[in-house]
Amino acid sequence: MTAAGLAAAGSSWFTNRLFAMAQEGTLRVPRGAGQQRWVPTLCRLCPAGCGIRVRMVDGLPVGLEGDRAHPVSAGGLCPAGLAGLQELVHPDRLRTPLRREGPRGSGRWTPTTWEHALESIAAPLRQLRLDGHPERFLVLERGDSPLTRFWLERVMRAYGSPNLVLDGGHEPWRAAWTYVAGAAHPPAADLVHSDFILSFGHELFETDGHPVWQSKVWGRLRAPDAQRPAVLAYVGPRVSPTAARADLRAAIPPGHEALMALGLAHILITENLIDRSFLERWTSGYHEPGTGAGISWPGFEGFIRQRYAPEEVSRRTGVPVSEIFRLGRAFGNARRPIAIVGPSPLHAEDGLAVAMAVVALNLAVGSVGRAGGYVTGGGAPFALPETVVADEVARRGLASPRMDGAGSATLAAVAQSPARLIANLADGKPYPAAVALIHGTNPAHEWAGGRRLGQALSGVGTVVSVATILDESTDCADLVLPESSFLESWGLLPSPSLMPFDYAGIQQPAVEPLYQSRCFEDAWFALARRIGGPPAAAVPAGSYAEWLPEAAQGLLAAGRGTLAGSEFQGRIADFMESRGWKVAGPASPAAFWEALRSSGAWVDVPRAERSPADLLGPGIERYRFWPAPLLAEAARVAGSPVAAEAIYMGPKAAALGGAERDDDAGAFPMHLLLFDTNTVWGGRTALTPLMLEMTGHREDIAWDSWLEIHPDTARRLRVENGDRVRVESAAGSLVTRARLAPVVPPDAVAMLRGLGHRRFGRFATGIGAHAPSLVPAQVDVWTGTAITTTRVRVTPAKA
Amino acid sequence: MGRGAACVSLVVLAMAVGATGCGRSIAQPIAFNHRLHTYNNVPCLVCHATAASGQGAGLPDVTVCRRCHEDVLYESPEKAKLRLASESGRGLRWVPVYALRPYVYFSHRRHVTLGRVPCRSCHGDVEDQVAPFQAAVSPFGGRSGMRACISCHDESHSPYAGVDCVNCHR
Amino acid sequence: MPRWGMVIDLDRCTACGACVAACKVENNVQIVSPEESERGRRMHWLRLLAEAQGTYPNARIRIAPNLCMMCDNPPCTKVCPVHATYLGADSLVGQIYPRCIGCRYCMAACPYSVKVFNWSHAEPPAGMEAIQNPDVSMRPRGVVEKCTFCHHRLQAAKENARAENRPVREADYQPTCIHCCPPDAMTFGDLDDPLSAVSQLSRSARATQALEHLGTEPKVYFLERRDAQV
Repeated sequence: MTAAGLAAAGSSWFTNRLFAMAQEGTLRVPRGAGQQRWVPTLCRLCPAGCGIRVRMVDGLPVGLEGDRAHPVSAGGLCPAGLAGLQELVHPDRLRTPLRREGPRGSGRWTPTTWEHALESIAAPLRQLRLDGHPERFLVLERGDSPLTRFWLERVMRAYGSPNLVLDGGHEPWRAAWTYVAGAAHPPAADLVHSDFILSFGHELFETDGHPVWQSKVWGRLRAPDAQRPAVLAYVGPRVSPTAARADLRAAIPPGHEALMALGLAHILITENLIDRSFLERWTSGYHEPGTGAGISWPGFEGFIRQRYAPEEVSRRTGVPVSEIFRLGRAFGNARRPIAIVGPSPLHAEDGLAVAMAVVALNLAVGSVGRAGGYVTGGGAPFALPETVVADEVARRGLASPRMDGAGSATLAAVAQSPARLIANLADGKPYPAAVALIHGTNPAHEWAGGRRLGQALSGVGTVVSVATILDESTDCADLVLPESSFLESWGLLPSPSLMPFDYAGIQQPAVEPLYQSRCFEDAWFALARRIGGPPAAAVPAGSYAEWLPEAAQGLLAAGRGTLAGSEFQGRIADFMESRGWKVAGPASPAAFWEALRSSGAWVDVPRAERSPADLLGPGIERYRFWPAPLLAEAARVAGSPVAAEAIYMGPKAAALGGAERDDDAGAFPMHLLLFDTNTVWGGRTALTPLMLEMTGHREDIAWDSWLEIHPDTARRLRVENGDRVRVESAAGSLVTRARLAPVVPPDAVAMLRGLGHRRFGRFATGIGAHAPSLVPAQVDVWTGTAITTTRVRVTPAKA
Repeated sequence: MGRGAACVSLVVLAMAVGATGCGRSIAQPIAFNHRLHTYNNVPCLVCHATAASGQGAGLPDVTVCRRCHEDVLYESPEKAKLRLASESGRGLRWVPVYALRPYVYFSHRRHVTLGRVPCRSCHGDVEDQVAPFQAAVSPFGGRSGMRACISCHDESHSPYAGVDCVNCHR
Repeated sequence: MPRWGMVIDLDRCTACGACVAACKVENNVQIVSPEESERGRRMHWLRLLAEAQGTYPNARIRIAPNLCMMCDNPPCTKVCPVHATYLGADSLVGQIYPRCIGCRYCMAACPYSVKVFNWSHAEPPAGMEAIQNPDVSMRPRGVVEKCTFCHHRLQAAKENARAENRPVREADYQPTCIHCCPPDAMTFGDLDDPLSAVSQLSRSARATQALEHLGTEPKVYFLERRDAQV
């Protein structure tokens, strides 16, 4: 009712005005009968997949909270997940497929139909196969969802391209375990049974691993009635929230994690805190030197004794000797210690050395293959179709080297090397790409050097982006396909491999899709069908949602595990099963699917005794301190013989004989540390107004990025708290606000990733500064990982 | 109009309007005759289905009307409107007559089911009305709806009928 | 009548901020624009207060949740001229928006600074009107608001308990911050029930209250951090 209409009502103007004021002044929240229903589903904003319940009132989604009945997250949820509904109704969500109008990057789009869009992608793909070059199809994906990844790999295999590049993994850690143990996947950390967690830059409670699960475990380990609460120790340069919560801290300069890990190993050795029986029985290369692949190595013990005395480590890290001893003794004396490492140190120079050093530290205390240590990672026994047989065209394509150089330009065990991709695309090496599809990741914003993605793709004939909203990467595309929100889609999520038990969570839509979007899997199936031939035969006839119950049958057929329910029911089921009773559950596949839908998850906690043999790959009998394949590969990649010690020290340090690298501190004297917050998650969840407002809520900063700077350094630079500062590196520069805090060393500054979007919806665009701009595109030679450390210069920015 | 002048005129108007009741003229999609239906023993809950279980009492969807009015006993302009609303898929867009302020929270379930308050206590003689309301009303007519609520709660001996502000204002 | 209280275990709290986000979402708390945020007009009913002491690398960073303490002897209610804030029968300090005249005396009186003021009209961000919680009103400009221990949930719990003809149990009613805390650092319940977890924890050796000496009798307790035994 307009004001005019109200005024026309005559003598009751005053009361009308009251009603109008009530409507204007206090916004009316839709109110109806108040019929309420809860939909259990999963949050998919990060790979963890916490269980959530969406509250539907009168058909509208009005609330979202953690699902208490979920076996992993048990009601917990992080800030980004709690803002999930804002993503669903974001006003700038894509509503239809879009076709580019004008040159790439101009930001001009016209709506088009799914048929037209899919045909525009399928036609060149069909042609590529006819031309015998299916390998020129590149798919760039984050890789968070194992089932999505399954279908991507399957179609790519049927099609004939090896170029599925996933940027969500941590290759140095995976590669280290592959070489040391022959394992196909990295193991899971059984934190819930540990009593001493030593974190090398692993932000347990923030964004690394599964933060909500890790927090749940922490809550249990530090319960008020716990007799011996577990201890958390943190090694790293920055006092992150996880570090602030730790009981013990060792503040090392950036890039010294491997050194500290090996220094702690020294203490374990000299104080006789090593697990001798484990080392004797399950490892090789600990005592005796040896040779292999033309390289000779010292015994690990001798190597440590010789180079990593606490005094030496103290001299190089600045950590007092007494603290190194205290940490080493505490770690060694714990009954079930475990050492974990986060992505940040793995993405520094010599990330592989960090990974190897941390693995070795765990081997030294025998925390492998036992409760509280590293154990077999979880999964879920979904019923999946058999591996597709590649036809002649596809076989030739699959035999080509990967565009990102993984496995060829890197160590053989490295499966993904996205950091090389932009440079390779720009050079057309090893061969040019003809069609590129980007989904689930925003490389133009998140990657160091990502700003050059558009240019690198200029030679690619067809670029497609599948996204929920226009972002910096869709700017590089010809076609944009609208992806549904996770709250509109179906899915099944198996346990992330970092969890020590098997589990499957079900994601079900809370609302019908608001727009003409589709879930990515349906778009992928439709594309495969359009291409025709083997790719079409590789996908199911129906939708992804129709296929999921078939996959879930594998859980029923496995004959183990229980559906999530109240904790009480779970305990009863456990009690009975451990005594040999089979708990009666749903009998038919249809009943099982319905029960899974209403309960939200399936879980199976292993009861068998753990053994170190669990993690060893086929044909491998011992954990190797000096894996010959790794040494051979290292030499191959380097192009010349490499000292064995290089796998623990990094090639440069090994070449210098263990002496210090001379850091070029000239024009750029400060180290730059990048970190993530659980509000914007490195950029992904910066979409929602709540997360943008809450970005720096612990630091009293909203809607902005900031640079953490040591108070003494700030004083020297004449910078006060809140002042704008210019940060410059060899790669770029930015301006942001300074935050003075004793959380970084005087020669380092820290900045969060995730803001500085140039295109990401109306709320995020233009907010904060873009930290990855400061990082030059550098690739670790061995692991193909992007190196995210660099040096900068900080000056006050006037006005 | 300046603030001061507005205040004065508001006060004057308030005194004038106080006795006349409110008015915001309302046109319903169908000239619904309550008496005809209550005379034929249609309980309130058939159309106001969530009065017993929900916050709001609800207004009937066109499918509810069609349950009885599927066949044409006798034609009338209102029946024609009903058929049109149903066939066109538009449904019935009833205009809410009782507009509680957005900061007032009232639960029908509490009063109808738990408190066993008869509909008539608050809605009075709606069941005898032959035509819909011409204007928006508060459930009790007259000045302040809250006074009627409070007076009933004060008189009630039930421990559940409190007068704590937070019970209704959140 | 239960006396609802809360215990926050600072040993378990990881300062993740889930409670902060959950509270804003559940209670339709305004998202304040960048310009208004810069003027210090942020609105959080529950926030994490961080304090850094010492110098790097030995800085001690303490972060703790700060929310309405639901005092049994509240200073804010004593200064309200219009009875918009008062200690209710169910032990919660209420905040009644239609009564509030925006004088902000209560904000000055509260020693914990947990009351926030609506400097502007509550406009949900574009497109987000539909996802507001219908159980909590949207406040107009010019009124004070604060944590209510999710009183609307207590109302729903009372209604359900009444329907089942039984008293309200602890498991029926939980503010949203308690529910979503990943490390289960927050416990909630009836402080007067000797068997409840919250009453036992509130009497533990590690339990403290904020600004105890002021005599506000807060119903929110904090358990101090433990030192590692290494």
